[in-house]
Amino acid sequence: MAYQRKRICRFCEAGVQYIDYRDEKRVSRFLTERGKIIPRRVSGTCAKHQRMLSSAIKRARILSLLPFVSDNPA
Amino acid sequence: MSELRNYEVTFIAEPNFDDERVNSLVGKYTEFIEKNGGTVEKVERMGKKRLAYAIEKRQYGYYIYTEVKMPGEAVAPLKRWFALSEDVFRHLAVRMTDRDVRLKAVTTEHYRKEMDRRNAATRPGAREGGFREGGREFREGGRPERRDD
Repeated sequence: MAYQRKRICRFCEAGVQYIDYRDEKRVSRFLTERGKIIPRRVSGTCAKHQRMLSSAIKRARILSLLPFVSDNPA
Repeated sequence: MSELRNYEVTFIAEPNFDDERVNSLVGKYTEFIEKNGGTVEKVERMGKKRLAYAIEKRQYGYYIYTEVKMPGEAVAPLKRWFALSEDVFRHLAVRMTDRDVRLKAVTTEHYRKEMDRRNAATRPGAREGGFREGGREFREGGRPERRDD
């Protein structure tokens, strides 16, 4: 894969301070098509926001807003 | 009773529920919270939504989101109540610290402003035909435009 410069955290850039687990549309872009959480080395998310993001994703999964696993990639 | 804390309680009821049954469920829920020394601050019916994965063969669920103030001791009985309920098949209760509440409010407000700003920037621009010029003209308070890469 081509070398890509590490990006700055999208949440910091957008001025987001809280990631809501009910906001599945905003959060789902940080999942792979299989439903895994994209690591921060790939997405460039900062540690603070990645922690918030991962809790939000896990909560959203409990509420069946996001999949735990996805066999049919969207 | 001990100190009241903030919780966000979301639960998913049977998808075939009509308004009447939802009202009755929310009523029973509110009654239960109040009996346990809490208050329901906000109820938001998110409505019937498709589940990301099937739960006991259901593909849809009726989502109800609530914000509640209640003592910590009320959580366990509440969870038991949900477990025994025939109407609710999934629930999530999240403790919100004062900090969480504050940050969430700030961020919600931030999203709202961002939406307003975008609407203001695109609508008049579209009318004048020149996208770039329209965008520039309606820039707020000299803040630099966000560049999409």
